[in-house]
Amino acid sequence: MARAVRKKLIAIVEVAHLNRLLELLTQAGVTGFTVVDARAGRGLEGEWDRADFNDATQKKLVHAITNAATAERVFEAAEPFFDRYPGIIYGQDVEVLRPERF
Amino acid sequence: MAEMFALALANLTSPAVLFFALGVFAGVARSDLAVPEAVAKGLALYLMLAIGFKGGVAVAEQGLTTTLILAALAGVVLSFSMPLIAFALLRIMTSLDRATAAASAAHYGSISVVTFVAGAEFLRLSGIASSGHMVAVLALMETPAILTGLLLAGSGAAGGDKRTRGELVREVMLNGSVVLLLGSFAIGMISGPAGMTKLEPFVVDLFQGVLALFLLDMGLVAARRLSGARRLGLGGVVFGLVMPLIGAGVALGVAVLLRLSVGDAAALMILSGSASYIAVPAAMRIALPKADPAVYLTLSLAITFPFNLTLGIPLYTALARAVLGG
Repeated sequence: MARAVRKKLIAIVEVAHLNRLLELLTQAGVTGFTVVDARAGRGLEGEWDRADFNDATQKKLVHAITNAATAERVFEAAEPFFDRYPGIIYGQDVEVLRPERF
Repeated sequence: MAEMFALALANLTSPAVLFFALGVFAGVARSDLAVPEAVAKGLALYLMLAIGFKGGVAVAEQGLTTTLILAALAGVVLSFSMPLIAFALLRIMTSLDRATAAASAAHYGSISVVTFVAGAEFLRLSGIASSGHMVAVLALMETPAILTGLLLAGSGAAGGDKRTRGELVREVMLNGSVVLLLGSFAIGMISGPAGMTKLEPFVVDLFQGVLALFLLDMGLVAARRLSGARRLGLGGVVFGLVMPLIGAGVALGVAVLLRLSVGDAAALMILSGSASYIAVPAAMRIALPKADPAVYLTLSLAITFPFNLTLGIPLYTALARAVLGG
């Protein structure tokens, strides 16, 4: 059965910049998101771990599902954001129930 | 010389340093030994509370003296100025970009609370305890270096907009460890010796044990950070070892000028020679997101901290004794 398709956006961002990203999402029209703690990882700036008892490099994962037009606005706004702050954002098509919610 | 050797040996065989070494060993050997995150944070809170409180009680007993004010001024000046030396050295010795060099330099003007705690215990056991007010000096030295670091970064700093400045001020003035340290200091000052009799079993008797457990965790963290040393190159590693000596040396000169006691001089050297790894990294992530955290965390956690803990502290103590007598 064909289901409605929406965009799922996933961003990885540092704790210090989380609130800015959430504001960016809200301003672009995203109505809901979920923030998840990341445990450990490796990237361009080396390895990090939650157990480092140092909050400076802790990362958060932000999940949001939205429609294609809003996702485009997010990507446009995210370009200068991730130019300045560490992290990544990516999107993918997902099937959803109750598409009017996004 | 023989005395210096004895001091170094006494330090290296102290439980605190040996537990740190155990942590490093476990980390390097990839043992699954770990201090749970919440426990590590709890231990850090305990250390802040205990040293803040003890310092406050000591000041309540001594009262505000001119020595305190002079030492505090010296600490602030050292914190402002050490990043200038660190930045110049980093630009000469390494090929780091400007933002990363400036961020790293800020770490060396600021201080490491745990290095100070380990140093203060060492001084106490050596019979030349530093004054309680050195805790206040420690608190004052945490921030000025951040400002110098941002100035050195120049246009690379994100401090231009109002919002970032607000976040930065909040982080620097109101971060949990600063609030707890200064709050405990104030509580110690208010409650005085009477308060100390109530909290003594908690903040004094337990202290060595908690410090040992905390240093075990520091060892594990430092071992994880060692993998970043390759990024620093030889110049960076040498900087991490030389900069604490310069910081301590300048502090010794200042201590001589101010006629500080041997214990206070050694404590000021330990502060000036240590590098931050909690307060400054957090501030730098806000204001200088382009600076590479792997560089400054590796420098301060995996190179300078172990050096100070094992060799720096007894060396600074011996130098303070040799120059100031006692």
